Amino acid sequence: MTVNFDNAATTFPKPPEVRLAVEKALVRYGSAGRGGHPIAVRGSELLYSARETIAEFFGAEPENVVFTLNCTHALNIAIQGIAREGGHVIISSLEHNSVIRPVYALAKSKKIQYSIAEVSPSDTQTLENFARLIRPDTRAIICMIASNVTGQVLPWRKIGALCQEKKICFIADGAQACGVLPINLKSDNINILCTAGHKGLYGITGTGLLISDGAFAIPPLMQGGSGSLSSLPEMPDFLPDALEAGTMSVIGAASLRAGVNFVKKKGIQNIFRSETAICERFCQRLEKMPDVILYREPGADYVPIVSFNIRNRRSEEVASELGKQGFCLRAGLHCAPLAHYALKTTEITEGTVRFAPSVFSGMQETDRLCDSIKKLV
Amino acid sequence: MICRAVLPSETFARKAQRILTANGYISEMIRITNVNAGCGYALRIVGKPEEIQAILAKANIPVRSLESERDGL
Repeated sequence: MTVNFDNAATTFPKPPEVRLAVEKALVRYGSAGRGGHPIAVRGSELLYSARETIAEFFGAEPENVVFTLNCTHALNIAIQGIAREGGHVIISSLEHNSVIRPVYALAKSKKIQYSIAEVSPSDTQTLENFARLIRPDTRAIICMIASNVTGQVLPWRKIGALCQEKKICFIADGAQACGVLPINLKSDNINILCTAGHKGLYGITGTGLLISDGAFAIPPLMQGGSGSLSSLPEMPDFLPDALEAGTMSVIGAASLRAGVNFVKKKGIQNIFRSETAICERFCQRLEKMPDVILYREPGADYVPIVSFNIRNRRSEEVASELGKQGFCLRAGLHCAPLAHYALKTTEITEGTVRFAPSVFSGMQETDRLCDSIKKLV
Repeated sequence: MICRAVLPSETFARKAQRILTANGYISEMIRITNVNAGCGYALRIVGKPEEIQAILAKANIPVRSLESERDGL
């Protein structure tokens, strides 16, 4: 039997409610916003209802909820849109390639300049590191709320307040935070929240979200049919139509609506507590194994993700051994090379092994995983 | 009195409909095609245009046009 501890990549399994919503969407809904006939109208109603559910969950307006293919897609729209007119942006030292690569591409083509703020275990220090890099031409701070490698939580509310004070755009990557931390655009001063639908929100793969507070205009990355103002050669300038070129995935939206409702029903705090308890158990067991290195720092906060290595063993080799025993964990760089340079895990171990439980993970299977790791040490 | 509000998008039409329903107005969403503006959505609402205008403006809903159906004809 396989046990998934790679939920930071994609939660698996999905809740029964999500599976049912997908099945229903397949037989009930047509394309949304593309016609006035009954099947299309049902699709449109579902899509809007999903926007309402998500908007309420994140403290936004329904029209500012944009469906995307994944978090990377959402981040590309946000970064390339906000940085279109040039200037300077700041990213963190733990960023995923979904932030690094679009920023680097813009910098390489001389459109923008960027700086990297070092993330410290101390929130105060991290905030100072961001503040110090702000220049008169800084247009945005783009950073993750929680690291996909170590799970470290950045002081996102303080960064939001800093951006608000300096009148610069705060683009938050919520891929590892949404569904386990209470994220709210209004109270957290987030201007643009980008996240995946298939991780902690329990939607299917191929779903992502860009949620705006409407304060910064985001020019479209793609052009095409929007179902509105169709006689004009330009994209509409209002959300969500401006950023949703082409037919939306009604099935994806149905899954995401069901997933968010599932998280609401369970309660974010309950989900965080139960997954954190599993991570604490995992860490307690591994701390007793002399050749295991855990990448956690005293004083830092974490979402339920733990990175570890067995000394002098390649991370991929460890994950592969565990995979043979039915445990699914992701090894390597996790598309976040900066974080691994900071952890000094790029050499012998070639990354880390990442443990990421979901709401469906249990203590028994965690103990069995720890037993298996012990045999490998 | 029935009036017709033309909204810039299907999303705004649905949002407007939700708000009007919450305020006790009965409405029907219809799809419209205008050669100059292209595809769009409108609401046929039982109510007075000035009252509906005020409700939608308070909710920051952009309205492209709002008129009683008799005026429109």
